[in-house]
Amino acid sequence: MTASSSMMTSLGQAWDQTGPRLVLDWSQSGPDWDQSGPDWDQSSGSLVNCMPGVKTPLTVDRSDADSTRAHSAVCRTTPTHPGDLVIWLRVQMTASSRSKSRAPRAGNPSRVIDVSISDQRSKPSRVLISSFRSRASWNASSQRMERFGCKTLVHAGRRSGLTYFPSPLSSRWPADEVLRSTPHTVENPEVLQKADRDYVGFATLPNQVHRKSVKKGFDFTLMVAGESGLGKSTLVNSLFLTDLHKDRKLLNAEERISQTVEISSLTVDIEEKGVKLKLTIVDTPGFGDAVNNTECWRPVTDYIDQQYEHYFRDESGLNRKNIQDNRVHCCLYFIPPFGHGLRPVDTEFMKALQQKVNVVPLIAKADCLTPGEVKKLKERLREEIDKCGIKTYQFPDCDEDEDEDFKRQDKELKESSPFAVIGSNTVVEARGQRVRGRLYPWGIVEVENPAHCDFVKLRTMLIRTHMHDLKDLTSDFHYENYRAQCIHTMTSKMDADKRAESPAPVLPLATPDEETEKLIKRKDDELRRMQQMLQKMQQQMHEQDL
Amino acid sequence: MSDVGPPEVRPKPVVPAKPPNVGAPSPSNPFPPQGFGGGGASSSSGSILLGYIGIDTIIEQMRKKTMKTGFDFNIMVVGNSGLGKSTLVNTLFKSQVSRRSAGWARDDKIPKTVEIKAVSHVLEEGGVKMKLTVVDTPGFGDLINNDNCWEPISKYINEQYEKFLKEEVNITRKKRIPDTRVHCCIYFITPTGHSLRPLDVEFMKRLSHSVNIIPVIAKSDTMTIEERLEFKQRVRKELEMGGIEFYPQKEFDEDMEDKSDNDKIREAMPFAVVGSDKEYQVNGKRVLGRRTAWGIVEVENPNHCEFALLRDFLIRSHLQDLKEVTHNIHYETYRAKRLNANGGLHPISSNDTQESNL
Repeated sequence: MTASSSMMTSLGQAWDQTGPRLVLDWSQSGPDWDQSGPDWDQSSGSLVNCMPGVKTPLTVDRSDADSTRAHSAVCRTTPTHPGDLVIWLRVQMTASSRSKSRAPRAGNPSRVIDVSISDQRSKPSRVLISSFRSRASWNASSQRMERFGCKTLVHAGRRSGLTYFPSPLSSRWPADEVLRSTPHTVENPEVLQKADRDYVGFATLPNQVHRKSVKKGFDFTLMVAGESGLGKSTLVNSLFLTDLHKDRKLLNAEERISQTVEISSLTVDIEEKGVKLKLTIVDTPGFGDAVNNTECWRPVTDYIDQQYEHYFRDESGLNRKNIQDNRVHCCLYFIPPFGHGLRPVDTEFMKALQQKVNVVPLIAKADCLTPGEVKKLKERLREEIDKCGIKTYQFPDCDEDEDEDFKRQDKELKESSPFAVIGSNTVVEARGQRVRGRLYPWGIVEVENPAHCDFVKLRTMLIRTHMHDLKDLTSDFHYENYRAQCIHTMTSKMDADKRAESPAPVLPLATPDEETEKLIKRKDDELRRMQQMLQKMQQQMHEQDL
Repeated sequence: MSDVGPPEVRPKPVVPAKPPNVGAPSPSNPFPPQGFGGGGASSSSGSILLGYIGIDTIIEQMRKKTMKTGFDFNIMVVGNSGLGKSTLVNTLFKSQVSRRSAGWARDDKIPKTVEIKAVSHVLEEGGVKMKLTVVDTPGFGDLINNDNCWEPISKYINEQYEKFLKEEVNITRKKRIPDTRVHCCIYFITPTGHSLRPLDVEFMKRLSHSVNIIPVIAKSDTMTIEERLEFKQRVRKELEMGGIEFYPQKEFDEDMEDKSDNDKIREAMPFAVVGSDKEYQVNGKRVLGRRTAWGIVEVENPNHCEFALLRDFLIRSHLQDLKEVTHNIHYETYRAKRLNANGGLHPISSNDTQESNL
């Protein structure tokens, strides 16, 4: 075993054309190679004898060692593929000191947040990662990674210095998308030599993109809409773990009678693991509060259009280097849990906004509902949303070749929409831990407990998996719609102007059309005649038969 | 719950006369021992009684009469849909008295204007019959434009007064005029946790002078105890600022005792209630409550919510007072206005329709 280190890039370069496979095997033995671990079966092209090992600390080669604690060891080379770094992923591990540790659950392959592979002992030619259930394998013919237990690896976050795994929704795995360079790279000449011949190296493109984007930082604009008192600010605080509204003045009813809906936006820069996020929260105080709420969504749609217009102008301008993207990427709409379904104001609002922004409906303050009531309300809301033809944000479907488990999780996610959420600004003591929650005389509601509410699902969906999808949809779909409309109105105005200017009648551009129309008509007549003749003949034959 | 012993409330007869201060009426013993003599029931008139007369048996006689005739009580519930109005009324009277909308399976749309639906039931307890009418107001506050959504309600209330007035002013009038006037209007406040909504303020301002309004905070299991206290304080302040006099009104307190009792109640209002008609087993007892994933909210537990306070206040101590205030004060105001406006004893009714539905 030659000396190695965290050899991500060199690993990538060493991969041969049959594609990378990562097998992670956590076995007890730690530094010793355990011969009785998973085996690569050449014939079936899959791992056999996969026995999950017991946790062993993995050597972590990172400067901030506290941020990743791995739970298992890597350790095995399969006889048929010398140099394979086999990491058998079985237990969840905690990601960073900032995020909370999640206990492994039986039967749940769990979520790995970061995996840092830095094995001191060998320099594998291939690194295979797989979860316990699924055995990833590279299908050379389809050039895809199959049965990849990607779901065990969290995707949305790209943590610096660590292995990055593609989104679970895609199991495509081009050669080097998985890895990114780390500071320590040691070339292993023998292995390199062998594979260098066939390797061009553009597979490192995703890494470069990654590095650039991390440097540039990301931005995300979230709009929260709903009546006052539904817990919007509290939910935003819970989602992003910050206190955005420290000194907010709440108006009383008298002052609010004459208030109109305003739009207030708040920008905050947060950073996590070297990734910077410029978060803008757009609030709509006064929405739905007045006695007469006709067109109370007008200021909201105007604001969204304004942002699109701003972006449109910037795009068509001369200096396009630093376009500020303030377009609203997602609108969380809070539905009160007190009613029996959608109210007229809800329907009107969502209808007005569905074409302009991604609308995610939520059931607010879900702690006043029993589980049965939550289910009924969700069903009813889904029905009504369908009936009114409102197009809310739909999660993209997962690919066909995903794991059963992952598909099931995805299905669960889709079925629990709209999410019933609870937010909290306070930390309470529950079951020996300090969690965000609400303390009632009859019990404690934990915000992050999936049995209590769908907050975790919302957070996962919004931040950890679909943030980028929301941004893409906004710019590819909603913005393009706006742009097309804009251009259309501009050109039709220009046409109208032009026509107004020229008094002469417009050239009969319709002539060619007329000719073709005549042709069509002639052909139609012929067809009809032929059909009639056919019918007559058929009749004759029929009579003859008789 | 049969009322065999002395009534818990100081009985106030319908005839507005000051009742004699009764010491310890024991209906089963109308003839107290001889030594009772002079220290007996004597009001401010101050005359010393030389023997037992038996004036205090008037209570017993009234009681017998009331039990025979029964009495009626009309309660109106107003609030946004889904706030648990029907459930609360059912819990209050421990029976299915309210027009329980088929709840979640309801197919009908939200009505375009506020409708008024009245349902009557006869409840009997301890030999006392009560005709309870629950007036529901579906559609209140549910539309996008809720301007003047209180008008149908105001109209209904005035119509009931009108009906009563017409009967009264009749030359040959019935011995017992059927009383359909709304004695009490429970207004449900949405538990936003911030403050009252403009609609709440508008409604209560306009109606607090024609009917007794009792504001309650609905679905209060949304709020923790601190949030609830804060919310209540803010709501009370806003009600004060808006000049809204909810029942029990300060101006109608008759004497010091009344005032101190009512002050205590006013301090605790609006009550934060939770309603439920399902029973669960808690600590070996069967209680009404709501079972959530983190515990069971007990409706009658004073640590959880103030339903018990509301019930005691509404039914066990101030039921008769509600009727009296409606009759003596609100109805009189209406009557005076009407008679003044028409300048005669026989008022021309402005709307001939007797229907209460709009």
